[in-house]
Amino acid sequence: MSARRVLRFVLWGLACAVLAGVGLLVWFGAWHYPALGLSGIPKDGYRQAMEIAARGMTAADGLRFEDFDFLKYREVQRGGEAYAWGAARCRAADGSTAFYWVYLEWSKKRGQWLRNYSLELAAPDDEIYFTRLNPGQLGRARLAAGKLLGQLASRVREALAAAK
Amino acid sequence: MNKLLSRDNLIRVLLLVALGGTLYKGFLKTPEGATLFARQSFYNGLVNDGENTAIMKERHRDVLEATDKAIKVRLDELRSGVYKPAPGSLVSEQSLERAIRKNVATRARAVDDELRAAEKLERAKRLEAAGWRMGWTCPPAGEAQP
Repeated sequence: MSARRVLRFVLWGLACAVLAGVGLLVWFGAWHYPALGLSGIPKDGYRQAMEIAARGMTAADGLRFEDFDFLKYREVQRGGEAYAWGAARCRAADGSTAFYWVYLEWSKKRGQWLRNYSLELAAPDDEIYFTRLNPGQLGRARLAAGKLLGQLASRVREALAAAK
Repeated sequence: MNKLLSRDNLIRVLLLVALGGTLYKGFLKTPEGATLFARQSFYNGLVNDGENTAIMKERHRDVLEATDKAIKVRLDELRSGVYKPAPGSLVSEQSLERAIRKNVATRARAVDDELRAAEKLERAKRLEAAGWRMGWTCPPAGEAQP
């Protein structure tokens, strides 16, 4: 085999691996994770769905779920969309309180509750603590990337824990 | 006879029918067409959009209020020594106090957004109740009626 053919083979392999990785990410983030453990719960079972979601995502972040600080359910009169959201009060390992925002949307297409944008409120890497100069541009980028990847890692941990 | 019913002519007719169908479908997407031929689904869409927007704006205010509470609890626990920020953390008494003020500013806008969303929903319901139709001519200048 010539060096050219080897190179071509490696490049194709690399491209396939990248494509598979992107596909896996999309499948996990848009299809698998949002629905995890919530199938079969009807629309008015939102309280149960919220608790399952809250317990899973807080445990994956090392927080102990205590109760919902508040929980809301809203549905439209026309169209069939429904939403549930709330703040979960949790205990961190050091004994401090943490609030976790949990947001679910009813999927008309899949006929079940799906997890949506959810995260720890006022977490130490939150933008709300930023000033103009602190952190600097690189620090901001690092924090944003860390938050994104940290969330992904936490979601994957949750899914793995649920699969066990 | 044979000249009129050729394969080419058949395709021409089918194309014309398809073009007409496309034009009609497109016309139904305009407010003029929808309020003429698809009234109920037009109003349903209008009200549904208003309802979803109102719910979204309420949620956006809620997340800010919940954040406000989370920051205040964190500040309390920092002062009482329960919460100890990691070395190099952005969280401090000063940054928490600033965060509370920034949140107040953002929330003021969120409350206004919520009010405007309620108005939008109200307007959709009013248009439906009045059986509103998009006219073919421009209304006279001045305050828009509904």
